[in-house]
Amino acid sequence: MKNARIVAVCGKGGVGKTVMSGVLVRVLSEEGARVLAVDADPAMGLSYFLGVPASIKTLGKVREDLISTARARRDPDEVAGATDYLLLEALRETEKFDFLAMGRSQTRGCFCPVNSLLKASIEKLAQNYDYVLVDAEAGVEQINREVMSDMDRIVVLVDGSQRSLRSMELIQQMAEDMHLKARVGVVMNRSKESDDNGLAKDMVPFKIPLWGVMREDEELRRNDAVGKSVFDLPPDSPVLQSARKAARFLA
Amino acid sequence: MLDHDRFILECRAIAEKLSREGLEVRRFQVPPETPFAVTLKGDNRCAIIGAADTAVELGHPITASFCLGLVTERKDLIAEGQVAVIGQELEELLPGRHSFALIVLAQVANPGEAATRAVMTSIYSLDLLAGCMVRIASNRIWIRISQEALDRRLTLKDMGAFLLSELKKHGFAAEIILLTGTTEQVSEIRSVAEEMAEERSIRYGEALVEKMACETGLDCDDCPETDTCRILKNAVAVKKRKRGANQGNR
Repeated sequence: MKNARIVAVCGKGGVGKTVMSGVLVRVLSEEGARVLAVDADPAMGLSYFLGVPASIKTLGKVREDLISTARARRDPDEVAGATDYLLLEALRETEKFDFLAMGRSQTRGCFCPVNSLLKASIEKLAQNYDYVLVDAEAGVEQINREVMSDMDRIVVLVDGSQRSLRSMELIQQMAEDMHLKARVGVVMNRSKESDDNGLAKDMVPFKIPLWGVMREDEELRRNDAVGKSVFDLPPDSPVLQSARKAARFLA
Repeated sequence: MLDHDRFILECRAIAEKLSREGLEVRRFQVPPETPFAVTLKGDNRCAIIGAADTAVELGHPITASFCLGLVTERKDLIAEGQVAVIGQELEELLPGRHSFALIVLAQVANPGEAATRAVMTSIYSLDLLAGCMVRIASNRIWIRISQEALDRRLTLKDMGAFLLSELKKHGFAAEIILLTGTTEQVSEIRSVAEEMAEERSIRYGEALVEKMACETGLDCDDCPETDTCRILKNAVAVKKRKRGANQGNR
């Protein structure tokens, strides 16, 4: 069995988490790694960017099905078994990567144990991959609650704004408070600075290493405007080159 | 005490009807004491068989699929040690997805809920076979067979024989029916599955009617779904226990 590396991509809203997640999926899969991409954002932007059809079964629906199964069948063994069935049904398998979308559950009530059930099945499924890459809507606590108990790497996207830096500090603090063993690094997105070393020095007071710098990419913008996936970007696209550098810190 | 006897008779009637309609039926008698040689997964139990490695897929969610475990105390209702393959064998099936039904008829002294659970647990043991991945939910079974397993000449007959040996460990005398066919042919089993589900829901339903409308939000003390949550918690415990057992087997 593989010991998958769990990578969470976090940051404040609109900072570019989905783009970063998508390009990392492409870069890692092109390096020959088996990648499970998890879209933890209910808006499911990552599925769109990866070219996965939107009409897939989400983990939100799996959650509802599990609650229905528990209500109707009343048998814990059967519910436990059904979790693996429903998770496999939600897994979108492609030649380059596999994909799970969290979506949103419509069921009222908390049903906290369902999260534990799903997490146990996802952690078992993760053993089939080299990387599990999670595009997180919120912070690490969402991933810890709904996807995996622990992470190996947390990539925090910032865009130079004070709000994104504040989010970065909060994410780091949260990781510490939750005693996560993950290494945390920063990727500066949409940077207009030409000097990477200068940016790295700017990060010193935050005590979080700079893992990469992503600059404005016109090709990416054009790609997005016509609804193409990350796999349609040319191999020498600036955003892919930046992601290749950042991916070294994930290994 | 469960009353699966009429369902067993219905299943047998359906099998005979399909046979009369021209679906091939191959019956194999598995000698009780013959050691059964199969290739097991060993320490690779959590591995999924990915779509790219799958040669034949039985009971995929978009196809017809049924999985029934029926228990009785009547020995005369069971052809003990028999595996019946109705329709095509694995090697005869074209690569791709096929409708599928697996029916286990088991005889035991006390055919209650615990016995049914034990039968279903035994069906999961098919997942131990190398190149075979099994998932079960709500009377549906979904099996992926790898190309490597087909190359090793894994057959439905072998799977049935392995299942018999697993059931025997739980003290069951059993008969196995494996059915591949068109959606319509496999769906013949639907009436039995639906009747069973209905019977089951009647058994549990009355006590649950008042608990279904969850209006109270997140307060566990007042939540009418605490019973459902308890079942889910027990399911988590089952998963942890199985995971521990898997790790122990490595």
